[in-house]
Amino acid sequence: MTFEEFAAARLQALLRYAVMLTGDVHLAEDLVQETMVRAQLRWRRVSAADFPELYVRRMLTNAFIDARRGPWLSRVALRAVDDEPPGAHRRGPVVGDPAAVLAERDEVWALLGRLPARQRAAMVLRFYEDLGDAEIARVLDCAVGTVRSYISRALTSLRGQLDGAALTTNPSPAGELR
Amino acid sequence: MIEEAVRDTFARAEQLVPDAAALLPAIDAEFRRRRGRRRMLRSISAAVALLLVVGGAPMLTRVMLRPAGGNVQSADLPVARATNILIGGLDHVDAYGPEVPNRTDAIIVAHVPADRSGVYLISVPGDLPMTVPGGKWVERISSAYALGSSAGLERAVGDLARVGFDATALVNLGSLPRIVDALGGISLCVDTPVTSRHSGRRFEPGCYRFSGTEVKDYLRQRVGPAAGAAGRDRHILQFLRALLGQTRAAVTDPVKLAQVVTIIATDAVVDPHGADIARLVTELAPALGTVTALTVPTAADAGAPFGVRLTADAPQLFAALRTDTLGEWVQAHPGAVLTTG
Repeated sequence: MTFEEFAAARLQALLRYAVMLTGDVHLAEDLVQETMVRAQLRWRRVSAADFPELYVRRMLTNAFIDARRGPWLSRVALRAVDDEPPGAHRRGPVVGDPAAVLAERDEVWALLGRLPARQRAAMVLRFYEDLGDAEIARVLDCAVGTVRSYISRALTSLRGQLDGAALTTNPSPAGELR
Repeated sequence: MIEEAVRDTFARAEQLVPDAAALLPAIDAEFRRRRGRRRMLRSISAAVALLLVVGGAPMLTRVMLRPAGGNVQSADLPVARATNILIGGLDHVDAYGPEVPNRTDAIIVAHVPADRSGVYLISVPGDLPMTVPGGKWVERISSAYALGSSAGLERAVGDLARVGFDATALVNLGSLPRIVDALGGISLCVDTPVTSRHSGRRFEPGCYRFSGTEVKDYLRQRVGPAAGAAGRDRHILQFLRALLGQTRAAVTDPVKLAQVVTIIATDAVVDPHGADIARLVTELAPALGTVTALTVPTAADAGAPFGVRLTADAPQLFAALRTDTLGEWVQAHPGAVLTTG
């Protein structure tokens, strides 16, 4: 597979993943761009891996985790503290604000943004990508037990900070389990 | 539930994600800058061209056939024997590609009795537990494909049901909408109102025609308690049953039907030890006229690893598969049969 083929097939999915990780469209674009440049520079090694997609996803996730410690931390932390609606960014005037799509400020989204990087990554991989624990462990390169503890700590932290009123979801019909 | 709130939040956030194609020029420019080479024009046009091709790619189906005895034989399926085909629906909206591990949320055993009187589509709930080879921990059966590929999926479902499979097929559910549109839409009956957490679209009870986009949206939704996987499995079964029925109605000649089904499986890759897919389909085609959909009987159980366990009826269902007496089991357990949709 060439890098161009990989990019054509996987770029959109990686951008979605990056948006869920960073909580911010422009940060996500930066992250994806940087990761893809690095992947292209070492494409021979990436394409020789058993699962190139997994390799690149790992690169992106590691870049996210590392960046949370560095200069980006202040941007993310500032945004979370101000409780900006998701999608707002700090690059200048917002044109065609995508946050209008979300009718109201989403408290859960803001709380997710405050989680430590690895916990947030585990949450995205479980509740957005719908991966099993073993698969999450492969992306994060850790033990399955560690994955479980990230998720359990994240959920506990979210539960603790949310009051009952914020937990309204779409009313789900009383489905049956056959 | 907090898990549901998190899922909803992520799903709604998808609407924020812009078109990734806009990044390609910047990626290439930066790559070029760091490598110092002039490749920009070639990469952009190649990537854009491929984006168009990938968007129109046919349904990805990989069918790997193994003769039931495990011996290497040229493929002659004995005519007078019940046939089991394992179907894994690859769940993600975009195809990851055959090399990439992926979860199969829809696992269906297609069972055709020896008399070819009909086909049974038996849905296996993905939240049932399985022991990961090596024995160290328990995972959802829907992870079996991601962990062990087709062989892993076959082993996991085979261990659960104590049956062997004549073939294993992996279907990219994300490509089904294109087939639906080619058929001019598909008629489905909705019994439970569903609101899409991705698009906000509401599906009201009643029977009506779905477009490819609507089908894709509908089949992604989890419905009901315990992460709603069971409700979603039911919808996928209803859809497959409707799809088979409408394809069959459109083509009344069994040989032509077999050709159409083979065309649908454009990317079929046949295991070198295995059978001839066209021949298999031709042989099973008469059965496609009668489709019975059922779900392996399970019950919610908070003590089970993922909230779901088999009921006492399940072993009898599996035994009926082995002894080719599924028709009798179904008559004795009408509650397991999907009658709506």
